[in-house]
Amino acid sequence: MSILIILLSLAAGAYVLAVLERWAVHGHLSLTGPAWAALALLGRESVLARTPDRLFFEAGPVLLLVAGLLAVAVIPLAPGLIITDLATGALFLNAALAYVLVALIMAGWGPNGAYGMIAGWRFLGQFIAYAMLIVMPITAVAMRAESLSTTAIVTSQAQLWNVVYQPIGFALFVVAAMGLAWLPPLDLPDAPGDLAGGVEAEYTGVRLAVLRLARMVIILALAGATVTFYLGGWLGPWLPPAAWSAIKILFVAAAMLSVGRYMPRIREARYLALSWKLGISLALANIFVVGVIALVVPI
Amino acid sequence: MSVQVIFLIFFGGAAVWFGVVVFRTHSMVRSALALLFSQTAIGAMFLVMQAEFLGVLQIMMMATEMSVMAIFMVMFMMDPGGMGAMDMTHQKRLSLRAGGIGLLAALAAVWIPDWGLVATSVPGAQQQAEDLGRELLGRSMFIFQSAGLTILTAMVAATMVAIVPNEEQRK
Amino acid sequence: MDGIEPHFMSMASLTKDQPRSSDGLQMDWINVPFGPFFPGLPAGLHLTLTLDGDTVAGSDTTSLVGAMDLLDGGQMAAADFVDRLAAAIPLTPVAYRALACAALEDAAGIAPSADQHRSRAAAIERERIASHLSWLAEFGAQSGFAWLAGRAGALQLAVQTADITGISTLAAPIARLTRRVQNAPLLRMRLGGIARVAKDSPASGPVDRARGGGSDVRSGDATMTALGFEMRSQDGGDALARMRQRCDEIGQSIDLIAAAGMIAKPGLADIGTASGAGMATVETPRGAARLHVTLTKGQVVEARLDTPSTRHLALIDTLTARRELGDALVAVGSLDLSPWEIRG
Repeated sequence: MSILIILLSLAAGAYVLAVLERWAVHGHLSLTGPAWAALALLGRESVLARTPDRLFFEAGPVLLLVAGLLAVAVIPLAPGLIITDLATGALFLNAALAYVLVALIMAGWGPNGAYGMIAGWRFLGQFIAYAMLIVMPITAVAMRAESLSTTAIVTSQAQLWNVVYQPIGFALFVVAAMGLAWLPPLDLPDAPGDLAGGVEAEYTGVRLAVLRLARMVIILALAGATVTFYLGGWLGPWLPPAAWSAIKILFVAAAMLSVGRYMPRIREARYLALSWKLGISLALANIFVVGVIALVVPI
Repeated sequence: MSVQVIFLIFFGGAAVWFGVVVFRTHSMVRSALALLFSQTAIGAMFLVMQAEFLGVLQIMMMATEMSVMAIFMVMFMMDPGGMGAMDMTHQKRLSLRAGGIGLLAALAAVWIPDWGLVATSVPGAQQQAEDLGRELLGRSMFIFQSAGLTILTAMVAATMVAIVPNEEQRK
Repeated sequence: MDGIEPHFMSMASLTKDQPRSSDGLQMDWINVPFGPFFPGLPAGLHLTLTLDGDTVAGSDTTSLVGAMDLLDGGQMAAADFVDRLAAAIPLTPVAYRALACAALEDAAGIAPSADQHRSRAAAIERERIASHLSWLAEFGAQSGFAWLAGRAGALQLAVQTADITGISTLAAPIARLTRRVQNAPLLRMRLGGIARVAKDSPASGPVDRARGGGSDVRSGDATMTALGFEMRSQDGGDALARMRQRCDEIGQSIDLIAAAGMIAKPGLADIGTASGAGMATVETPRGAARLHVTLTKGQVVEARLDTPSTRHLALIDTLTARRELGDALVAVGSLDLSPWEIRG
């Protein structure tokens, strides 16, 4: 039963996100816009590349969707409302999202086109930058909760949200999450101006619809992860827990979608240098500081 | 047969099948990703055997490691797409012999030592993670820390070997 | 690599004759078209990059829209020639119309009045604002700076047809836009140090003035000096300096238009049946353009056009060589090429 509720709220959340993204890009609010766009995509002709690696071409979008759904499976929307409460939930989230990389490599290599191939391998470079910065803040969060279970992580924030307890970790995690979901300004694999759509360039019709849906699911999963790890999950006064989850997740997702409109795209070499030299040092410092505070302060 | 054994056989078979695909396919990228899915099947076997942390860790690490291997294959090998259908195997006799010896050694390691009784119940995943943590930071700390330092040294050394000769060449 | 096996194929020996890349790693070189309708590059520019992995190893640029003859069959009436030149270069028609008028008036020996000079100059400045805003919008589209693409595009459309009062109303929003763009986060990372144009390369317009010093045709024009024109330049010669230069010129043009007080589309006085040879230069938004015309009894029999984009075409090879793909595309974009000006 709870699985069904979560999947339905996921679908609703993805729809609301699509409406918000459309509003951010086009400037007017259109409630049926995504529905029409999805129908149009499903009805369009599927243009196939000439000599694709057929296996990867087909499997890429599907694997992306599977990775997103698996990641959503460990996000708690309310006490007890979670698809599977694994004891290693936070780690499982990361494992599922690692397949985003595999899926994009497949989607880039499959169509046998220059734009897609460059985009796919660029994403690997981006991944090397954000990979450590996704895992290390999670380590600090799990340290405070003394558990990897996402439910335990949320309940550990009852007195103080992690965004106040570990602000450095929060900043690093959010930036790394945007890199994982290839949101602007970290949208190297999907660069509309650089690569004419990158990995999405060679996909049309149904496959493109699956790719876009998968991306929405991943963005929701990452917003859910941010809320779970740093913004207190379902905790909050007056409203029911599920409502708080929904509000926070949509707010974080909308923020992630809109912040990139106001900056140009990063340069890959600089991003790698910053992530490794500055990012990892900060992440290690974060772990150290959180460890000291966790031993000394009783919250 | 219990459900657990059925799943074990399934994932074990998948691991072996993907491993065979690694060598049968002509495409380098397919080869790398087949190895990736072979490792994922092994991770799934860990999950079936209720070693949750190990299973999740294996699945996570192998995805990233094999992808990096894929790009190295694209960089260094000719015909990474496999369209030329070249025979990419070398030193066939030596590898057959080495493979055979490896198989015998693995079988010996499986059958000969006394592994003790089969565990009839395993601690819950939460308890397992705790025990693993205490083991890593207690008895096995020296091994893991020195392994970590060795890998870091190797990474730094490899990067330097790659970069420094180029700079000297440029001068 | 001998001794492993008799027929062992080593990468090093098999790729012996291939051109070497700069970091020593031999990879497959592919030719990728960044063709005429590429989002993020000027439309009509056919750029083919030879990519060595992610790095540019060579480039080849042609324009697919510069083939129109200046003279439609031998000779043309002067008024028709002006219209034809404006139509041939639709990105900056006003500047080229003014160029044609000035060259024909020079050939016929006619001097327009001071008022005509001023309104002509103001029209060119208005087009300069629109052109630079359009460049900003294109930069926004290329680098994923979606807000800039939308806002600069809207302001460009508003400016293009605005009169004097319209432009003074738009002055504040445009100033806010240029200020906000130059202070945008990550902008310095995206543009700083990219595509540095050497001091001795032939260049013109903002590309030239952004490397310290440079020249401007308007410095030698009495009308412009009377309106208070002073050449502005930036230091650095990289893409960031060029962006700053263009933003600076937008502000300067707004002030010049306010000083001129009148705008009119450049119109040709009655040539009659004059004959002679004439030449004129105009500072178009992209650089100095020069036109030589020969008149015979009121008909244009010969015309030679020299445009800034043709000069900048030669820079693409040096600016993109051994650069990462994203940086190379930003470099090409920062030159503000007009494929219509690349003739032949």
